[in-house]
Parts: sequence; structure tokens; C-alpha cells
Amino acid sequence: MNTQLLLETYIDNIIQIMSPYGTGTGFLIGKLIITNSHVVSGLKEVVVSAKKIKRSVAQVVYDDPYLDLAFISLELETPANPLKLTTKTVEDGDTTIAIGHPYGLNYTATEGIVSRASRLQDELEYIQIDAAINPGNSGGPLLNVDGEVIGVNTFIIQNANNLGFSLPYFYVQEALESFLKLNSLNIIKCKSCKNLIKEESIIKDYCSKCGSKIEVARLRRKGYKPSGATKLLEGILESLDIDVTLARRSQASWKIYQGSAVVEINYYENGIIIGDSKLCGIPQENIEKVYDYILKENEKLSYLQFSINENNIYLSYLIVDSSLTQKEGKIALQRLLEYSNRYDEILIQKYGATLLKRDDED
Amino acid sequence: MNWLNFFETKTPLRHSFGRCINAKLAPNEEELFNKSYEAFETQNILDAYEYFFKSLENFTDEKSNQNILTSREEERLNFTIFQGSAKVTGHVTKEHLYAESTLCKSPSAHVALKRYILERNYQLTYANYFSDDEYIKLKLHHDNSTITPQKIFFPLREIALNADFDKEYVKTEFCDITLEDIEHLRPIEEEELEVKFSAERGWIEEETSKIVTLPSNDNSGMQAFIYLYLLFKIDYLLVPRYEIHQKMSKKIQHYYGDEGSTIESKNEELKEYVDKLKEMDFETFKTKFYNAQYTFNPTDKTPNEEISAFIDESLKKIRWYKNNRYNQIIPTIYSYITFYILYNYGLHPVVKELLHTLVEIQNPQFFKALEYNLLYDEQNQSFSKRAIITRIENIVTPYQEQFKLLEPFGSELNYETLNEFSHSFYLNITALNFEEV
Repeated sequence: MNTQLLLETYIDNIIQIMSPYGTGTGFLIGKLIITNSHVVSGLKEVVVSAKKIKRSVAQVVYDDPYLDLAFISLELETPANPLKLTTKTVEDGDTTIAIGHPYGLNYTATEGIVSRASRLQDELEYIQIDAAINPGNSGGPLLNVDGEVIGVNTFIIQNANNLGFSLPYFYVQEALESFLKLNSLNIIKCKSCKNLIKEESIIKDYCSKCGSKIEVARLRRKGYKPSGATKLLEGILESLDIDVTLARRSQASWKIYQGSAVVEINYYENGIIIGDSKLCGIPQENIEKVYDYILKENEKLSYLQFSINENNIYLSYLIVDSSLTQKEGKIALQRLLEYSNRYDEILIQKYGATLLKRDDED
Repeated sequence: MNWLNFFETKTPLRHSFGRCINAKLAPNEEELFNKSYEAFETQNILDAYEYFFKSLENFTDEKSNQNILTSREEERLNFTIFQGSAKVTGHVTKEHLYAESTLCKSPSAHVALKRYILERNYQLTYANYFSDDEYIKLKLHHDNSTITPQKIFFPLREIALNADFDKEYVKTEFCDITLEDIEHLRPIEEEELEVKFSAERGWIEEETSKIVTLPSNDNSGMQAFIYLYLLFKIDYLLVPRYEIHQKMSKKIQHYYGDEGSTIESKNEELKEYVDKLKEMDFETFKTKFYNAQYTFNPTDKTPNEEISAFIDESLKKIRWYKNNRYNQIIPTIYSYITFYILYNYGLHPVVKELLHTLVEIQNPQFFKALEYNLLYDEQNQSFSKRAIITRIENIVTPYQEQFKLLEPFGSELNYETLNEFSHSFYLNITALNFEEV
């Protein structure tokens, strides 16, 4: 199968995984989503989405920092063409296809070859490939030409061109079997003694078998706790009945859908919080009328403002973190959500503005 | 006062130089700011704003520049802030602050201007443009519930600086549009404009003829120093507005910001612009100037270490040119350093005044034409050493109580030649100690 055909065949198995700390890729094997441990960042919950799955909160049921492997559980329909782990030996020179969401570019397939089928790195074997894998590819599948999973794309060597490393299928197979055998959720592998430990048996983050501290246990216990203006902002979003976990794109950015409009909130390092709703594109005719309309609306609007960037009309709310209050922030964000959709419709229907094209992820 | 002050009675600056407010804040500025903070804490909002506005008032020769005006009604404080071509008016109530600045009449604005201001809205943080039935205005609305003087400073600075910038931009780009609310701008006397015009002509002649004397190859770095020095000098000493200011800033910004072009091609662009300046007749030239009050400085305060690092780096370049026997460029670089710092950095008043003193010394002809007492006689290559020492004393002494380790350095300077003088002056600037002991 060629690369494009492989991608089309197995695309329903490819999952995007998001946490406040970043995004990565995962893939379905049976009922579980396989990814890297570093993609789930020691959290118990992450947000997942796929071609046929809307953004949903899913549970991390197995976290193995030793192999850099994690399993996520979510009730899913089995895809028409489910992915399988290979049983064939990987050879130097084999053609491979890495699938993932590098830099947020969804469903990118990259072809390469196996530079070395077994490269030893800290007592583990990896498949070294020359495919250009990038941040965001982490946790994604490495396929052979028959569409079987030969590894999990795990790391690259920084600043080196096309040096990628995949965790081979046999480690994944072994981990899956051991996990399923326990017939229990929330399992952590101790990096020191390599035993699988039930999370409930861990006291004060100590491994119940060897007594070493388990960092993943500490992170899972702590969870993600926003503070300061981020906490206040998330509180405001919650008060507006927004599912903050689903809206959160990183520790400092959120995305909310409202009809045809999408509101993106970003909290910048300089302390400025910007809620932007990128509305429609400027029409080709009667452009000045649109300018007149939005400049007039700016007179009436409080908290919000219209602006233009590149060829799009934006409705925005800007505030400095130290000035944000629950009361004012709620009014402003509520208006931004309500007005975005309303203005989008007015601008498109009355002024012929162009509806914004959105990528798959949206 | 030190006995040396006998040699120079205080000659106040009668002209504006550079792009900052060019005036002193009230001596009790810090106290006013603190009072404002305390009044905000106790929810005396109108008092707090009144103290805050007073802390922004600036003075020339102990007289208020009237750069900020306030009037109080019962539950309302009205204010007007002047910033170059912009006049920002507004009011404060217990709940909020509202400010606006009028740009032009709405019906006169054409599509390009509307596009421009809508794009500006995307760049601005606190203020935004709107149009009512009559005018296009920049407005600012700020809630007072969590307000402090620090928090309101930046929004007010944004509206004032940007209203000023955009008015000048509109006048340059859309010359058919009449600016509104500019009655506060004061014309400059014809005589002074003539001095500025002839000075600019002279500098352009002088510098372009210097370029001819440079070695025929490998001179792009030296050419760049000459052109940039010339533009910085015109900007600081003549303070042109409107088109000259806008285009010159763009050229300078492009020179430092464009990493893709070669120095040669960037020099060519600077040359073309200097040629255009040279072609401008007096009648056009004199429309590019006005006097106005300023409330905010356009640059944030630069740490002294950064200024020192720039001086060190520049002195190294001078050494390189010296070692390679390109002596003809050295006086230009010594002058370039001062103008570069004055153009790019937000300076402590001490550093600013000291550098201005150096500018006076390096450009005696211009200051003579403006009828200032001379600190350096170019013809005899002699310095008014005592007057320089006194001047430096006068600049540094008022700040010694705050910065105990700050020392006047007039007597430490090297008065042998202008180059050696400049060199020693820069070294002393880098040694200034602003540590609050």
C-alpha cells in the first residue's frame, strides 16, 4: 500500500491527545489508545479526538515511564480497519510510514526507511528511522507497508535531521499482555523495579514493591492545578457552563466553539489576556460598508472591539491579568461568546462577508 | 551649589531635543504617585486620579508645561492630556475611566484610512478606534474596580502615544485628510526654522562629501555609520514631525530590522532618502515642524547595563577602525554613539542630560546658531573646561541624595582632543553608579 492509501485506510485509528502541557498522537489497538508516557504528562485525564471522535475526556489507565508508554481508555466504536501490531521482524532498509499530528498539523503521514532495526538506548532497543518526525508525532504509530504497527514513535535527536526512534512492537505487545492480565485500571510501572503497581496500593508515592519514589504517582496524585489568573479565567469559563478541560489547549490557551464562531483565549507572558473570535473574511464587494459598520459598532461595544488582521474580521476582548475580575470577566467573555456568533451571521448575511474555512481539528 | 557653578549660570534649554518629554517631573512626583496609590487603596478614586495626573505633570524652568489639565465636578474628574499632536480628553467617575482622542471627521475618511485604523485596533491592547456620526476617535474605557496608578499608567500611555503617532501617520499618508483637535500645536518661529533648515543642508553636504573620501572598497560599514549618524542627528537636534519623522523612522527601523538585505543595498536606500531630504525646499520643510507638550516618553527605561554594553561594543569598533587606520570615520562613530543612545533608549534624566551635554560639545556650530553658550570652540579646538565641569556638577548633584555613589566626573575627562574627550566621556557614563545605597 502506498502512504496515502495507508493513511486513508487507518485514519480512524489515529487519535490526537491533548494535555495542558502539549499535544501528541496515539493509536487504537483493540479497545485501548496507545501513546507515549511523556504525551500524557503524568495526568490521569487527557483530552482525545479523532476523525470520528469529538473532543472527549479520556482516562489514562496505564502509565509506564520506563518504556515511555501509556494506555488510554475510552468507549469507542471499533474502526472499520483496525490497526494491529505486527508479528514480523523489522529489517534494516524496510519502508516505514509515521502517522501523527506534528506541530498541530493533523493527520500527517511521513515515509521513511529503517536506518537500523535495533538501536540500543539505555538498555532498550529502538527502531531508528530516517522519517522526518517532529514534536506532535510522539506516541503515533510507525507502520510497515502492510499497514501493521511496528513501533511507537517516541523521540528524536534534537537538532539532527531526520533521526527518529520508535519503541518496537514487541515491547508494546508485552506491556499490553501484562496490563490486560491484571484486569485492573490505573496501573503504573515502577521505573526502578519494573513491576506493575496498582495505583491504589501506592502510599506517599512509594513503590509498594521496591520502595522507590514513583514520580508518575506523584504527578497523578497532584493532577493539573491552574493558579493565579489562569485559575480565575478557568473559573469564569466554568461559570459560563463551558467544559474547561475540553476547552483547554495548553496551560495558557483555550478554544471555545459557539455556532459558526470560534473563540480563542490566550494568556501571554506579558500578562495580557486576549479573547479573540476570528469571524468571517472580508467580502470582495462593498468592503467599505463593512468597515463603516464595524467602526460604528465599536462605538456601542463595551469590553469588546472589532479589528481586522490580514483579511479577517476579529471581535476581541483584551485585559491585563491583574485587572481581571470574576464579575467583569464573566460579562466580557459571555458577550464575546454571544456576539461572535451573532455578528458572524450579520456580516455574512447582510454584508456578504465570507464564511471562514476551518481545518479538520475544528 | 559648588563654587564651580560660578562659571556657568544655568542656561535653560529653550528648544526641544529628541523624542522624549524634554522636561522635568514635579520634585514631589514620587510622593504624588504614592498618595495616588494610597487613595486607590481606600477607594477615594477621584482623589487618587487627581494625585496620579499631578504626578504626570512636567515642568520647564519650574513652570508647569500644562501638559495635563484637570477639573473637578462633584462625582466626576475631567482631564485633558497633551501628547504631541494628540489631545486626549476624558473623565473619571468612581466606577470607570473614559478617554478619547479625535483623529479626523468620519465623512472625510476614505477606505484606506478605515482599513488602517481597523488594523491598528488589532495591534492595540487597551484602546480602539470607532466612528460616531461626526468623527473617528480612539477611545479607552477602563473599569476602576481593581485600579492602581501602575495599572492606569499603561492604558493612558497607550492611547496618548498612539493617538499622536497615528495623527502624524495620517497627515503623512493621507495628506488630503484634515486632522482634528490640533489647535494646541504651536508654530515654530521662522528664524528658528531657518536655522534648522540651513543646519540640515550643511550636515547633508558635509556627510555626503565625507563618503566620497572613504576608501573605494570595503567601505559599506563606514557608509552606514555616516548615514545613520546623519539621520539620528537630524531627528534629535531638529525634531522634525509628520512626513520627515515618519519616513526617517521607517528607514532607520528597516536598516536595523531587515536581516535579509546586504549593507550595501541598505546604504543605497538611506542614500536615496538623504537625497530626497536634500531636495526638499524650505517652504515644504517648514511645514514639518511644531511645538507641543508631551506627557509620556515613547521608550521604556533601559537598564544602565544595556547602555554600557552598547558603549563598550561601539568603542571596540572604534578601536578596530583605529587599528586598521580608517581614522576618517572615528569622529563620526563617536558622535553616532550619543545619537544612537538618545534615539533608542529610555534614559534616566542624569544620563540624558549628560549625553545632551556631549551633543552640545560635539555640535558647537548648531548650538551657536541657536544662541547657546558654547562648551567647545571648534576652530581653536579648545574646551570651556570649567563650564563643562559645572554643567556635569549641576546635572549629577540633585540626584546624589538618592544615588549616593553617583559622582560628577567633569574633572576626570580628557580635554586633549574632541575624540579623546568623547572617549573619556563615554567611559565615565558606563561607570555611573545608580545603586541606591
